[in-house]
Amino acid sequence: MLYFTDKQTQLADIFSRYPHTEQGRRSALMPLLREVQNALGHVPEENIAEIAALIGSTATEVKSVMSFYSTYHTTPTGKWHLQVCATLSCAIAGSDELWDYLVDELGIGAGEVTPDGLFSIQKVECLGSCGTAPMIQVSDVGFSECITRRKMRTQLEQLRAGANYLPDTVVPVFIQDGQQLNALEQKIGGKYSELEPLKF
Amino acid sequence: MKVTVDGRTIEVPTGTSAIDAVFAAGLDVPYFCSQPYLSPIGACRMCLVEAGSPRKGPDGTLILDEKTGQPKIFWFPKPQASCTLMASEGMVIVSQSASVKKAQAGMMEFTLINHPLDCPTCDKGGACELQDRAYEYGYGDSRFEFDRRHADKHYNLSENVVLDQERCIHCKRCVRYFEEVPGEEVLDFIERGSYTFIDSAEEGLPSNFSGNITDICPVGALLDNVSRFRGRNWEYDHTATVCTACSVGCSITVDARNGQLERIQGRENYQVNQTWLCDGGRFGHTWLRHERITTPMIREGGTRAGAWVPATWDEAIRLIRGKLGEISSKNIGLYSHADITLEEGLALERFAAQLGTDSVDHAPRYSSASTLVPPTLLEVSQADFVLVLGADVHEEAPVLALRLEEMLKGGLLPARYEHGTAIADLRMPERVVRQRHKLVVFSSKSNLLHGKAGLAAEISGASALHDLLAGSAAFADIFKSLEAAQKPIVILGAEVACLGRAVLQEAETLVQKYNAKLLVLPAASNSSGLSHLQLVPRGKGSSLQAMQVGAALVSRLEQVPADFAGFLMVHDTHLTEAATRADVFLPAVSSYEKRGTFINLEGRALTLRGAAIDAGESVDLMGVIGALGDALNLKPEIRGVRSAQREFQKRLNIDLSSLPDEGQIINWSGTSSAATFSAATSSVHSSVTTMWKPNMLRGKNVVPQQARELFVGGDD
Amino acid sequence: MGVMEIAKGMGITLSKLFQKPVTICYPEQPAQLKARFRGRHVLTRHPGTGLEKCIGCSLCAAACPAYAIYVEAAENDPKSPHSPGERYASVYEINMLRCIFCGMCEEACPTGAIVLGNEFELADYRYGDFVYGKEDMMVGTQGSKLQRREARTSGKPVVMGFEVSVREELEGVKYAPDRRVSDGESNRASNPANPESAGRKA
Repeated sequence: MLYFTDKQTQLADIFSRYPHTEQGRRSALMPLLREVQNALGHVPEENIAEIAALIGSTATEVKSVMSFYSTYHTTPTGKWHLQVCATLSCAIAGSDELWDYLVDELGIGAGEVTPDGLFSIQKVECLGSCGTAPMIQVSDVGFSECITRRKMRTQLEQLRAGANYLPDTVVPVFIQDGQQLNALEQKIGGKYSELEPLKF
Repeated sequence: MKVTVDGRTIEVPTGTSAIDAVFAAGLDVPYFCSQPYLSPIGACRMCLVEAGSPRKGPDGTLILDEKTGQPKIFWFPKPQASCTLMASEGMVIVSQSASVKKAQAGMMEFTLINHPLDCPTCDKGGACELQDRAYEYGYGDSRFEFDRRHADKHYNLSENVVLDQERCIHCKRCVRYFEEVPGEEVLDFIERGSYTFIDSAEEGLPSNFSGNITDICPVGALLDNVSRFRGRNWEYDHTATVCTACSVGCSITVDARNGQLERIQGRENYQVNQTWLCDGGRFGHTWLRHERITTPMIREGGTRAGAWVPATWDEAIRLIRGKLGEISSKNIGLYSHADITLEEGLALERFAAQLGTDSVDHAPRYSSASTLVPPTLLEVSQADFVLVLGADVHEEAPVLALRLEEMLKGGLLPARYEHGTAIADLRMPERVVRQRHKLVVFSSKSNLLHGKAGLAAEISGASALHDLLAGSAAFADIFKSLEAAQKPIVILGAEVACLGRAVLQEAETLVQKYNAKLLVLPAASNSSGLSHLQLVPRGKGSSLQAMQVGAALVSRLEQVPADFAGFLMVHDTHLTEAATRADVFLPAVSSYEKRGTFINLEGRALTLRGAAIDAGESVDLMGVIGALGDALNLKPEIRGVRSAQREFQKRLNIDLSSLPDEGQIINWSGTSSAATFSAATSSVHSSVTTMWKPNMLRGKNVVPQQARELFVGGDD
Repeated sequence: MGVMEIAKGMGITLSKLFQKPVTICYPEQPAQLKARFRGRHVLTRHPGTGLEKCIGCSLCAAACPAYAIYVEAAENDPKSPHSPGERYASVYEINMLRCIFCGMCEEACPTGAIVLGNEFELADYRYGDFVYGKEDMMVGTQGSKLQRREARTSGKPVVMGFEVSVREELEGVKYAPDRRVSDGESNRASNPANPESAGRKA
């Protein structure tokens, strides 16, 4: 199913942020991927081809970019996507054990979703919270830090019970109408439309 | 610009990279990611050297060393990748010091972390850049003792290209190649870090030039699946020759083992194909070894219904003598495929004259050839406007399409030094914006070039030409571009060229009006050479379509007219459709086994050399003419390559036996011209042609898509 | 020359009369080979899996100073592989007339697949029969082509005309068990002329 067919204004808005040249169109790749993933939870094969056609490139290149960033998924993810940091500090602090625990506890491997559709897991590279290793990122909401077996178990139980996820630290990711927001929708910094050139 | 490399001061042109300066000084630096015709990116970090340059002070003079009074050299703090370092005036490069060796050996150790030690089973073994460089520059040992990365070792990227993911060292040559050379981004890195591998999301590498990545891969990651495990590199007999599959005339190396053709690789010819080949030319050779016939054959019982029985040449000649004795020599037809060498063509011309027959022809052939001097391939790549009419360049002359892509990129060619083509020409960037407005394509069927052109339409090339001449207002932009262009070129494809003299005349008028050059894509590989010989039928019924003769020699043509009832001698490598109706079968050598000269579409003479292929008793056309002469008690004027070349020495004042490696453009003025053509009809079966020639499909399990549509009948 | 010298010389000669002879009565008696004797090649297999060690890399052919070896490789079917990995030798031929038994092939072999064995009775009648294929050299095959031909027609087993302690590179090779010497010592005395050797001679 094509995603952007009925979203021409949105599409035009994304393309308007980049130069109106062949190369400029290609720059819109990441926002387009983000758009699809936000809506569908992952970017299916057909939408990869769709985006490739939109930016005037090939599916190979779109896949190359997608696979470079662990934030894009080609397979469906659960409601809570647990991203286990597996880089040095976390590895030393026991991220392998954490991963094994999650695999055992949830009964899934990388790229799979639990039957109830709640969880999926993924190993990622450094998330920049080495001081609080081992840690995970839950979906795009935030970090759970200094994880112990007990902490992980409680958190999984809470999420299973339908509770909302409460991160230790939230991730600043969203841009809405030119305004950067963190995952709790608190404003960070100013709007880019309100920015003024520096005066000397 | 003076540069000092390890104490040797050399003069290099401005813009030279440090790696080329080192090579120009006669020294060596290891490298994997650089490739002369690709942009340098410094991905492999193997070409580390120490470098430093003098610096100017605030007063604009060079800062001098207090002790020596010489300009002070400011060294880079660390070794630099010489392929992405521009040499500058007075630069000092150290490529042979102990610290450089240590840096290179350390890099080699990193490169080999995940590279499997399976050289004995690797087809690249013995011709592998990594193997050679590891031997020359490596420690011979590794401090990394953990497990190597394991990945898919047999990953078919396409029917013809197989990828071993474990062996890849991420030099990015193949990925850059697809973006820069054919301009088709069908291969890219997937994942990142040590998990990176190359893959394509498009099914089976949809490109006509996918095989080139097997040539440029510095390791055994990308391999030719057609020659997979057919032999080791040191076992092959390498023959440097020219591909005759189409009229471009790419330089190739034919590798044979035990008398069998096993592999074809690209060979550098800066003027023609750089180092690239099309997939048809590279992979389309397996037909030769399947069911080839290498002895003469005659019919059992002497009738056409009889089964074929192998015979000796003497028996075959005796039979021919018996049959031809009843026929007037004027009534003998000589027909050949148009991929014969110039020498064979001359022998055919002279023998036809000796027989006094009008029935001589070569096919495929257009009824008319242009008398204008065609542009060279380098001129195509440096043109500032190209108008393509009725051509599917990717199929008719594939490597020409690469030259058009180069033209779209601005026609920048790598510099040339004494040590060869620049290893890293820093003027060549990645991801060049294509100047699409420089290309206009009109042909009745959409093809790959349509997607690259600034203006393209699916209208017949002939009608477009007609409207262009008429000055149609719809083409106002094109007229403007043609007028503004300094070096415009018009390319005519089969669709237009097969229409005959009148249309060709229109094209000639058009190019003369705009001072452009005209490139007519020849109907077959050596058409442009043979068009200068008297090899066209002159009488009524003497053409290949009519073939109203008592006896005919048909050399490597698939078909003869259905109503031909005379004595038929077929000269071919295989029992083709024509051969099933023959009285005598004479075994032919393929173009890979011939010696001689080949004229490509730009009029360049290129030398064919015979590869070490076991052809049994097969002979070329000159051999068959000799046998016919024997049967008719005639002594042919041209009996060998040498006597033909002596004749050409007289006609053209050129020694074809010692042509330069890159070939030589031949000036035909003053020789019998193509004017004789005007009377003759065309001998083209179809105006559509593909990179995969019909004969290449013999014995092939999988028929390539393009060819399937044409020869086997597509889905429609 | 004095009488003394003659007596001395005769003394040496006569003393040898009472010693055990150095020569043996081959082929009635088996020849004693040293363990490192270089005879007809053996293509060995991996113990356990039974896969061929040869991967068809052609390095033996490259190392061969007599150009006696010819190898053609092919790709393994992953379901029923001939050898570990992707590649195996579909054709492996050694021309025993050309071979000079120098052992360079053994040295060049990266997998220890080709090992020079101990068989030396390679006589045959036709040139073509001296080209030994894969099946003639694969471990488990005993005897020269001629010996095996005759064993087939006579219905009797192949018998080696020698004794040797098999060195460990020859993985899986066992020469006729009654002839095998494990301690390197001669047991010629306990092994009288084999009745079958007469049949072999005929």
